[in-house]
Amino acid sequence: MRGVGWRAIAGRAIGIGGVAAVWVGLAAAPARAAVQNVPCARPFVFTGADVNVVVLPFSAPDEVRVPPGVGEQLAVLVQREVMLAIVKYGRVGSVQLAGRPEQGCTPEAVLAKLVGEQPGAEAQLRPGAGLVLVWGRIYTAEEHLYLQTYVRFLRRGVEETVTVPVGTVRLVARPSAQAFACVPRRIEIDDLRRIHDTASRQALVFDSPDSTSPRPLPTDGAFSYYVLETRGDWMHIREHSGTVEGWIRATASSDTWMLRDRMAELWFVEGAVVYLLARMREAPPGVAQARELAPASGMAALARAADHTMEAYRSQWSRGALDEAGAVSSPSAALALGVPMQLRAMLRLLAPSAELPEAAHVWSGRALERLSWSADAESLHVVATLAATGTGPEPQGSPALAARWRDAQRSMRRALSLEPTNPAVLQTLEATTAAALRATRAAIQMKGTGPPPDTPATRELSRQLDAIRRLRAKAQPGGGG
Amino acid sequence: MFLLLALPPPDAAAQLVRCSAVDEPGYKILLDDIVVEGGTGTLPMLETLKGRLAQNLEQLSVETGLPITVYRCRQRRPPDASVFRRPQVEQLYARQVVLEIWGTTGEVKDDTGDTYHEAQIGYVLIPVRLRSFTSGDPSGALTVQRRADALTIDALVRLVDQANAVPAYALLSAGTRLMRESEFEAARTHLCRAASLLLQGTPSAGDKALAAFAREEAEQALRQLKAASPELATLLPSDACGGVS
Repeated sequence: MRGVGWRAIAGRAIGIGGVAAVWVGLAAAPARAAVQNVPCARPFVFTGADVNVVVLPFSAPDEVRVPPGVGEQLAVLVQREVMLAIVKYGRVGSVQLAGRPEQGCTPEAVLAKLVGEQPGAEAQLRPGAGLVLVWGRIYTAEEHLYLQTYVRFLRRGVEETVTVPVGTVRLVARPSAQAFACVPRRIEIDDLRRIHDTASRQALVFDSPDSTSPRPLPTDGAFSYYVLETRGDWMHIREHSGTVEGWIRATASSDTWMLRDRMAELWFVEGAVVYLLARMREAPPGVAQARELAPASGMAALARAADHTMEAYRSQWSRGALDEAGAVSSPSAALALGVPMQLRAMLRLLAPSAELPEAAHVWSGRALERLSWSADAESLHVVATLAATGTGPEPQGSPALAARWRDAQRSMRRALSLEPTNPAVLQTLEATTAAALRATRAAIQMKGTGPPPDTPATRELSRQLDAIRRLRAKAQPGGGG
Repeated sequence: MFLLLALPPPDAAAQLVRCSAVDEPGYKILLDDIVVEGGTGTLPMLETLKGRLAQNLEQLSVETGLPITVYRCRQRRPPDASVFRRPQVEQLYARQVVLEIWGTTGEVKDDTGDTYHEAQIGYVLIPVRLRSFTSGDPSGALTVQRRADALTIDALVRLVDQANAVPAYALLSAGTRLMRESEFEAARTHLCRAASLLLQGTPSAGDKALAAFAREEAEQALRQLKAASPELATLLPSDACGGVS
């Protein structure tokens, strides 16, 4: 892959206590950039990037001994490998943070700063931009390292919903969660050694991938660089100030293994980045046709890429799991499996021109099997099913159509019973109730002449519709709810 | 497998070392000492239990969004669940403790002389326990005892894994507390999810009882919601927890 030329921005990135203007310059840099060893107390993102991946150190409980530095080394390897994977998608950035929990290295503290809820970030996520936050917990037992990775994905200030037109009806749904724990994994002591050796090798820069005369990378303070191009496992980088340029090895791999083989969640991280990029490229809501007019090569290609990585995650996620045999059925893996399925359903709803295999409702149904307690899972499945079975203008007076809308409305009421104040569920319940009422009246009217008579069914639907509208009004600020 | 032990000597409750973390603001889970039974045993087993519990609790925080902080209570070692009598439980409830967890590990020999690793994890679901003093069941205090099926380290890690139990108990406790505080909407959401988690896989008799309790409480929450809101009375079906299986 050929990269593009970048102008180096004057100045040198330094760590905490550095000159604020330098960080501003770095933050606004064109994306495909990365930075390592940023103090958690002053977290950072590339504001020029559409999506940033921020990796915290993998931490161990105080009383549990792990080889020193393993948590931070693992974070470096994860950040590098993710960067290599995502750099091809466009305006992206990756950040590796360093520090201990008591120094602010917790996902809650870092996220609050990056989205402006708390002061202290060197650079905040810009409104609407995407973030994938990765952190983990580790401990050792005899000759093994056990790790569990956690992932959160979001767009700043944006509700992660999908709006789907079904005929003249607009339905809204969202995933059950935007954060989950990946399946816990075991890494052998040999892998630990490889992590250490690889981290040491990756602290070197070469004139070319074929060179045998490396130079050490700067190790004091934060190290930031742009990615100029990639070649296999290698990235051609230029350090922020332009004083260091060369090739670094980006993957934690050897002849026999890759980090991604041990941590299938890295596939999901890549998929989440692409999903967020796709969401940022879609047409604004309310413009029913715009989605179809979006450049097919942009939106559809991103949807296919995201789906491909999600499939890689799904096929490999249990490899190396703590309980590989039982992982698939474990309730503790419900979100780790269910949320990616929901994102795959949403991608199909957003980009029908991508022509992805298996329809949205197939994926939303699989997710619902794992997430039966989730109102959002039920709601997404209702929306996906309606999108599959009724995408054209509603045929007037079809009893089958009326029955379909009434079924959907019943399912939405079930969803509401799980979370009575879920706003997305209420919105779609209103839409399905109104559609069911119209379709039922139309079906009755077809049977005779004149306006449709009121029936117990239409009276009940009408009553329910009024109730929903009152509920939604109460939920508005100043609505008395 | 559950093991509910006989009542301890009368002064056992007094042996429960006070944990200063109970005075911290907000809802909390107390993680007591995890000890090696008899004071001896394999250290890796102990660290394994601590490490895995830390992961379980992180998962709870990430996936449920419950505003609960976990605090370590060093030197606090309940001999068993029955020391949590009404006065102690009322104090913990007043200080917004939702769940208390402790554990022991050790090696045991069976009749054939084979050595096994065992772990015993104790839980007290404080709001459920408090309710039990007036309503009787479920007790809200339980001990889960497991024996490793092999001496491999993986078997030991699976032994101590509480990934399914911790969120289920925390959600049930939170839901029960919210019922007492008349926060019926949030209570219902947590109770339905708890019921779903408790019934997955091959639930024990104790977990089935807790799941039945969760569903009953969820139904009660629904009735309260309908009584307070004519709109919800019109809309909500009569099922306990929707499609939760």
